[in-house]
Amino acid sequence: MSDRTVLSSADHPVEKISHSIGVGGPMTIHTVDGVIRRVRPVVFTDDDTPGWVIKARGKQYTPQRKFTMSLLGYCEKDRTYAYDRLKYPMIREDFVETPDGKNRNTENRGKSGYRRASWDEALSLVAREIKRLQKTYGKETITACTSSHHSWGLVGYKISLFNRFFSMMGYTRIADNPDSWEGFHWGTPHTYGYYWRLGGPEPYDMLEMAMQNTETMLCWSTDPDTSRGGYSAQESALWRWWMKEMGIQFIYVDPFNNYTSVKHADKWIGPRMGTDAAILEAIAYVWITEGTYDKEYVAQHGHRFKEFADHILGRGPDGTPKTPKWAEELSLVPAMDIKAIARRWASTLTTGGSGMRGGFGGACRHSNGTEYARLLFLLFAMQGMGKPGRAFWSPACGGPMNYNFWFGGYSDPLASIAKYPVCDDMPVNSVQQVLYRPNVPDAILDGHYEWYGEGFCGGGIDFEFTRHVYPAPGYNKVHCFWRYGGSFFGTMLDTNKWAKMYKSPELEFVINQDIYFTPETRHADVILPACTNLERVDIGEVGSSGLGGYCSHSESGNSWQMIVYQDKAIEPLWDSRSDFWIFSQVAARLGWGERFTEGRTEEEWAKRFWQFSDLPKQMSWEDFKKKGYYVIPVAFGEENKDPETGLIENWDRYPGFNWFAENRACDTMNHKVYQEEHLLGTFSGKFEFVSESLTYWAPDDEARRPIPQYQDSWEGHKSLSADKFPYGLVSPHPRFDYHTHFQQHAVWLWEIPKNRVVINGNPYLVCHINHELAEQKGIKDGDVVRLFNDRGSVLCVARVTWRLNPQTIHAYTSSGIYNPIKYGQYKSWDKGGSINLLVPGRLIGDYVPAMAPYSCNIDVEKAEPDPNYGQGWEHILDAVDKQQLETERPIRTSISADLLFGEKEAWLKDQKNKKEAV
Amino acid sequence: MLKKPMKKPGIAINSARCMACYACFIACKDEHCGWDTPLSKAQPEMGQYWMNIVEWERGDNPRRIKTATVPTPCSHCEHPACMAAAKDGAVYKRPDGIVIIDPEKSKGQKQIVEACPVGAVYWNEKLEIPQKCTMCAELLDDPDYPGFEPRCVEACPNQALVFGDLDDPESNISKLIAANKVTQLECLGDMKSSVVHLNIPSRFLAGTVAYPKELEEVCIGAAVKATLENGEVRETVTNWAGDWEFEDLPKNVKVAIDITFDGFQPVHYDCFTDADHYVAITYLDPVK
Amino acid sequence: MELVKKYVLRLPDENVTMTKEELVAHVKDMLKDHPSEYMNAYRVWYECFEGCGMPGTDVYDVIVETMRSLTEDWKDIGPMRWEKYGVIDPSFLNLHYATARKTDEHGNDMLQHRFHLGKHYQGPDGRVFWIPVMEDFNMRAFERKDGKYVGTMVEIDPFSDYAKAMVEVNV
Repeated sequence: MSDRTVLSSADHPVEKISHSIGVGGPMTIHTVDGVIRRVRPVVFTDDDTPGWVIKARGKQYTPQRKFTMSLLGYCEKDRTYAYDRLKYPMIREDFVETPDGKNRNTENRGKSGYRRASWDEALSLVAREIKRLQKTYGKETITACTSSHHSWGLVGYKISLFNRFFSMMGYTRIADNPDSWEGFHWGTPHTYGYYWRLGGPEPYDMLEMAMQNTETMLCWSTDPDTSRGGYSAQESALWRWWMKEMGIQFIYVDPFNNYTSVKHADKWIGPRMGTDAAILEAIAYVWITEGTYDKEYVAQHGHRFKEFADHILGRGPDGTPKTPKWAEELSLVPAMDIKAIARRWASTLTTGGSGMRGGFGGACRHSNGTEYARLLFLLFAMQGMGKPGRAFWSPACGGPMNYNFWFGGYSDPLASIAKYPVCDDMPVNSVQQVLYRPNVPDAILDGHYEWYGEGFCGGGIDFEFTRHVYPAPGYNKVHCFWRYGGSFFGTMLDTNKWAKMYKSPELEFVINQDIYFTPETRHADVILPACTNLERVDIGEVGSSGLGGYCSHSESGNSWQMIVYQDKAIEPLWDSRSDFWIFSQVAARLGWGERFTEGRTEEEWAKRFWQFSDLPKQMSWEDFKKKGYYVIPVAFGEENKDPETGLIENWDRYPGFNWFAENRACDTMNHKVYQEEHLLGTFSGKFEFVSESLTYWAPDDEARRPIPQYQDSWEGHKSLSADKFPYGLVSPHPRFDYHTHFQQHAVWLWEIPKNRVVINGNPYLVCHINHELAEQKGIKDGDVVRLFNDRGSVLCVARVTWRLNPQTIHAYTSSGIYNPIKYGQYKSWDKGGSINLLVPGRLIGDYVPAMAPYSCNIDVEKAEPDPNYGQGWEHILDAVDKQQLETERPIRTSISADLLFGEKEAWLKDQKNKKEAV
Repeated sequence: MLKKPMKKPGIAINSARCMACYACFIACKDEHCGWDTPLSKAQPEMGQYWMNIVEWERGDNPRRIKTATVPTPCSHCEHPACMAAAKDGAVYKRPDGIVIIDPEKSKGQKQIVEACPVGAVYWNEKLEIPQKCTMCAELLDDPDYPGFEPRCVEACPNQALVFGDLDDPESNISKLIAANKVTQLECLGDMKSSVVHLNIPSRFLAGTVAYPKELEEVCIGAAVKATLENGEVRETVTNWAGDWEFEDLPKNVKVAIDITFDGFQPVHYDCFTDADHYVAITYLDPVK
Repeated sequence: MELVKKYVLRLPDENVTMTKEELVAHVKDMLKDHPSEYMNAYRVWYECFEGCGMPGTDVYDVIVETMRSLTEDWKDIGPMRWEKYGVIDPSFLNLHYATARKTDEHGNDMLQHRFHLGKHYQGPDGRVFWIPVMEDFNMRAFERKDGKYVGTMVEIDPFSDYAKAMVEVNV
């Protein structure tokens, strides 16, 4: 903000040092005069534990004595004071509180202005509407949804706080789909089990294993420096340098030569979109014909391998041998390269995986994604998966960990204020009706939707096949949407439908509770301003999603395990409040405030997480608050330290999947009882080259066959749409954001040339186009281009590169910015970079209710930037700022989104000159 | 003066380790945007990059692409061009070598911006002063500030930025410099500076050798020889992928590439290192 | 012409045909000294036999009938849900479970064969604990008192005398 008060640190010493956690890592916050001065990484002191040491190939390796942050962590101050913060409750200007919920001008949602309201007015309206809606239609008429992860902390966020409120109130839950890892979740349980881990592999102690044994690292659909193990900041960056510098060969497979591969790859191949399964089948062909796979392992641990081998050799029903030449025609990767990779994989100790924690990666978010995921596991099984050096692992998790120190993570069933033991009164949602997140707009707009599966199907293989109908029998439809944090325009499918849904009169009342004026916030009737977690008290562990929650032990992506007392650095800015306060207020107005809070403050709730963990044995509550954090030693006891260096060299190791390769009782975390009889979670207990569970449950499943295999996509290079839209869009998770949570708010990110380019006050997203394609289209580096198909259009700035092949165009998904040029017009061109407007709403298959954004055909053409200045919605906030209202707190007067000093003046001058020239 | 005194504080920047994660870029903004310090005025919210990341793509064929990423702050030169261009002592060099622009005395002196060959000085339109990196001296002078490194160095997760005393041969920075290739920025010529760049890449030539095309097989172990214009010879063999590469070749020189493999006709290429090149996929022909 | 009913077992390498006597003996052989607590026909078919595809209904019926006949070793407990198969199936409790082996063939411990994950246990001193976490190295418990969970998280050594004396209870 060019008119943000310039503050001086000359005579103002740091008066407060506090800590917090974000998706960019843990932070040390310096506050001066009640204002955040800076955000630094946490640098450990002498009284913090020594780190671990890995001894490998004659050298010793230990992490830096600090917890790294990614670039996003350093944006947290900028994001806290962002120009687009919600400052006070707001009510849509043309909203009318009609007694029957009709005629409320819903068609204007998305372009209406807002008026300022007091908390009392806003909360009373929310309470009144909830009562009216519940009375008229029943509790099921209210639905609500969170995002991942606009905030952090075990008390005041997502699964804990949100769950408690809405379960207690009763609502139609929106089942999340496993958006980041669809193909693994719906695919791999049918091949090697682990449905309770949602398809993901065991990462335990894999870093050490790889450093000691691995000769080749295979990184398939992985950009670890960008996806950062999830929320482990840049902790694993050093690990990959260690591995690179010890001579391990890195092979990267990705349609885009990504930010890690371009630095580390000894070999990069860029297949055409959706052809990864074909390459894997061809690699199997090489091994089978050359006899270079682990026959003993397959005989002992594989089920029905012979039928798979017949299929690969062309003796199966389709009669097609899966030769490297066959794969070359599909993928455009030369057969000679496929063979070279196959032989390198077989003849060396090869470790590898997909995506940030091994079982992720964009390639699995495709119509053929389940088959890709299943084939990847089967190929590792053919080479003895679980033996030293032959592990399924991505190099961004699996660091040394103290598994025997217990503290909760955000998805941990034991670490939630909505569950025992943390709460005394555990709420149970009385409503059975469920919606399914990817298709919420379809359900609302069509009034009917059917699908299979529970979303997250960790409870058993049958959970994938439960049949759901909306509205559920005996239930009424949803007429109210309470949205909490984040923006789906950048992350869901065919997202013009979300804009359409918001305008529907079916949604009589829309509440948005967020920190910022995000694209979805602009579609609400009532806006409740929440504060960041830097402005409230909480507690958490860095990078941890919990034990037994999904993605168990995600904190193994860190070099350090750290528990943080998330102290309030400053009071909530303007008139924003903590989410806990907001929910408590609504609960009180609905008559169950005491039951909701159990009489506890946020700090008292935070203390309960400390109490139920192992932390009291190490630190009293007062000491913990004072220090601000605790670093967990990877092992306790002096005897475990190297006497020379003082670093910890002995700790209990449980190498992932090694138990299976050695026919031992399973000794790794989060396992099922039958794994102790070394059986996997498949029907046969073995790797299933022909899946028995699919044969039993879904024999007519078109997307998942009993033998996993390549199939042409319903939107790929052989589809009809490819005639009109000949290029495949690759849209991985963004490098310069965490989902949608920084882009619109932290303007420093707009100055990164590979991220965005500001033209006329609007930050255009960068897309990558191959040199040959660019030349053909007359596009130069830095030109504005339109990416488009029948679903929508997005204006981007082109970067011309050799880092992809001509048939693929790259642009990151998860744009936090959605700026339709013509507000309110359906399918208006977007200049905010919400690529997801282009991706299909079609799910992978009838029985596989999974997103497939990697199955997307587009075209590109040169375009002009929008001549209008700014992002298009600044006037809404400016108008609200000018309204005067009596509140308890002083309100800052007008802000201007005029971020580049002098740029707007220059633009105005330019416009004036143009007019005069005419 | 630094609270932990050093004769010559410096930053070593190792391009071989930089991943262009932009943590240093943002950390610098976090420190200086919107805040005055004892040594500088606030950087505006946008438009200046005291820690700039200079990136370029290397290669002309998808089969071999790399990127060079060079974090480029002010070099704190031994004989700063900005100081030479400044009037009335607007730019001064501290005894420890850190170069500072005085935010009061430098008002109106736009020529200081233009003088810098690196482009590391920025003009603040609103305040009408030139501004640049201070090596966070104002922090490191301050006995109450808990850190001991400039913000950019503290932020780097790859150990690509290292801070320390250049005059102490036992310091980590001196050891790192001794063990690596010093590559001063081209625009600075042979100028000495407190910011020492290491391992900025120059040129590569790469290629793949394969058996006759219809066989669809890469050729492992083919001998590849590079003879430079100056007579220097380098040799390698193709790896498991059939690929060969020569890195760190001098710029703008002729290089003759000769590929030989038993039973096949030798192949010769005349190359020129005007840019990084992927020379060819060489399909061998059998000896007649 | 032979008028003896034959049962076909489709196995990975070849199909095998058995008479009823042979099939019953095969089932008994697979179930002998089995370390698991619960069994059903699907486990026998898929895990023990390595059957391919769904078992024929005739084969399935013989497996269930055979298990029912082993009244000394297996107790018919009626239908139970199996999350790995996603089915609710006639199931059998291992009557020898308490003394069945608690280590694998190499002597490694099978902790979840000693205690049930997620259940409540009462110790010899009368205290009741909920055990939500059980890993190879430890058991983690919360004490339950007056209908609430109190205190901090407790570690219980599964090989201690205290643990060995714990009894499972319903709360």
